Amino acid sequence: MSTFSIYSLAAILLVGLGVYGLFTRQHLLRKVMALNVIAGGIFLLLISTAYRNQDLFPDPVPQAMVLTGIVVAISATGFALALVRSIHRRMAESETDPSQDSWDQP
Amino acid sequence: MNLILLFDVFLIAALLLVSWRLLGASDLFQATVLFISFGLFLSLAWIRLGAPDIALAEAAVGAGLAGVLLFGTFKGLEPGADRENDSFTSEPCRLDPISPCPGKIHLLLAFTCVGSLTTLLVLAVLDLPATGDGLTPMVSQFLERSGVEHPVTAVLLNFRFYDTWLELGVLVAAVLGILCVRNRFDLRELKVLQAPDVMLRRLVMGLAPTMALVVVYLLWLGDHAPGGAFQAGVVLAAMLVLLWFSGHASITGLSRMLWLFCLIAGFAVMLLVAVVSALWPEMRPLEFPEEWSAMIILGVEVVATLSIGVALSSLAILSLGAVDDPGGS
Amino acid sequence: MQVLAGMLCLLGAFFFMAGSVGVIRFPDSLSRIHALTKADNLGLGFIVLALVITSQSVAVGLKLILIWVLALVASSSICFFLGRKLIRGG
Repeated sequence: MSTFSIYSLAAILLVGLGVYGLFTRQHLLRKVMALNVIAGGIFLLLISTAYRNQDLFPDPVPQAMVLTGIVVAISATGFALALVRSIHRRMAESETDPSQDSWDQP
Repeated sequence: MNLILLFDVFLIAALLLVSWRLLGASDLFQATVLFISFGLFLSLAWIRLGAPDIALAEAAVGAGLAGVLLFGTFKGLEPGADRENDSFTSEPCRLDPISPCPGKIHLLLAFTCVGSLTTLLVLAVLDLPATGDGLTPMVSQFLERSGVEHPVTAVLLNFRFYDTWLELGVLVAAVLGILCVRNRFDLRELKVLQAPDVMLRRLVMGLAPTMALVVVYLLWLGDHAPGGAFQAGVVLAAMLVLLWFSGHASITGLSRMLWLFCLIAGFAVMLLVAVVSALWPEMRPLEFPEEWSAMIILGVEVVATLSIGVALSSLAILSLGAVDDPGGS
Repeated sequence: MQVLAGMLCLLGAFFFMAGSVGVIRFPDSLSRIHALTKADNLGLGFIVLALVITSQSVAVGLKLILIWVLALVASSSICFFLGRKLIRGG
């Protein structure tokens, strides 16, 4: 097996794991992490295709795209986390009755 | 079996295991720590695949900054938020009203969807030719006309200039979005949660010159070796966040105008380059004259580093910082 | 030269392994931090030394030593903060 096929298959598994986590986990923080795992898988797939040419340096175009993608992913993560925080705050504020804690309900 | 293959298998097993655990662990704190180690393993994989530029950025962004953001949000959530059952599950399930929310139908649907997606992707990858040059010959053909010697920097700041440009736009948009969500239009009133202690202050004071040196070094290195505006910007962001966290002067000390100026400077300079090159008679948009390209790239890189650093540190400070007045938000 | 570097690398790897075993086996957090920072810094030191021996230029060697010093500063200060937090009961 070549390096390309090993790493691209691993990348696909990472994407699959991330999508599965995104669907089945409830906590929003965990969903954000799952999105980041998907992003990591996609980056790994791109770079493993860049690694296919053995003679020269790895293809710089996917590298540049991944570099751009990392920064875009962190901005999206930051924004998503701000939204998560805001949602949680609204949820806590909408609890009018302090004796009843919504976190403990089944 | 040769040794490098063994290393590959171990690395991939570690990556998959860590991502499985971080999605499956019941404790959110543990998941956050695992997320950081996921970033570190990923950056090992970049090194292995011959992409040190990405490894540098990933170690700083994926492991460092994302970890800081996740920890900040984790701490900022209401107490009890680390439990997996949050209030979204208390609503009755639409698909399967009897069982608790990730019911059997949910899991089955998710599994089918993920299974078919994975199969399709595997088929697509197996269909790809096992060797291929991609765009490498083209890049190396035009490299000497790009104004820099490192191919990744040439792609980022010359051949695919618009990618970098729009990416800076995304960064600015993210910061503006967070400002809107937090209903806050200034960084100056954001404070650190705990009082900074003496030891940390001294330590950061001692380290700050070294970090500034690393920023300049990485920026200069991007011309001919792995490094460049992104990596330098991320280190700058780390420095600004550390300075802020230990109570030193940082971007929270800037006036609002100056801060916004630093935030949009990179995008604005690239816009300026785009407009000038579009209006220039014998050039197409985003095409630089060859004799000027080294200068243009260097200038854009310096400004972009500043903008990336300020934007990323604003992200972190906005997610970590607390406001003194409780009714503010 | 190469043999010496290889031996230093092995020595470094041994200390890394000792540190990792310590992290897994030690009972409480304080002794785990101890294992991690002491043994791993020593291991990193040996590997950096091996790389310095094999590196071609003085500049590269100096940069490697700088990396080691920075890692030392970072891990010892993190060790201090964690330990203090643990003792104060955080």
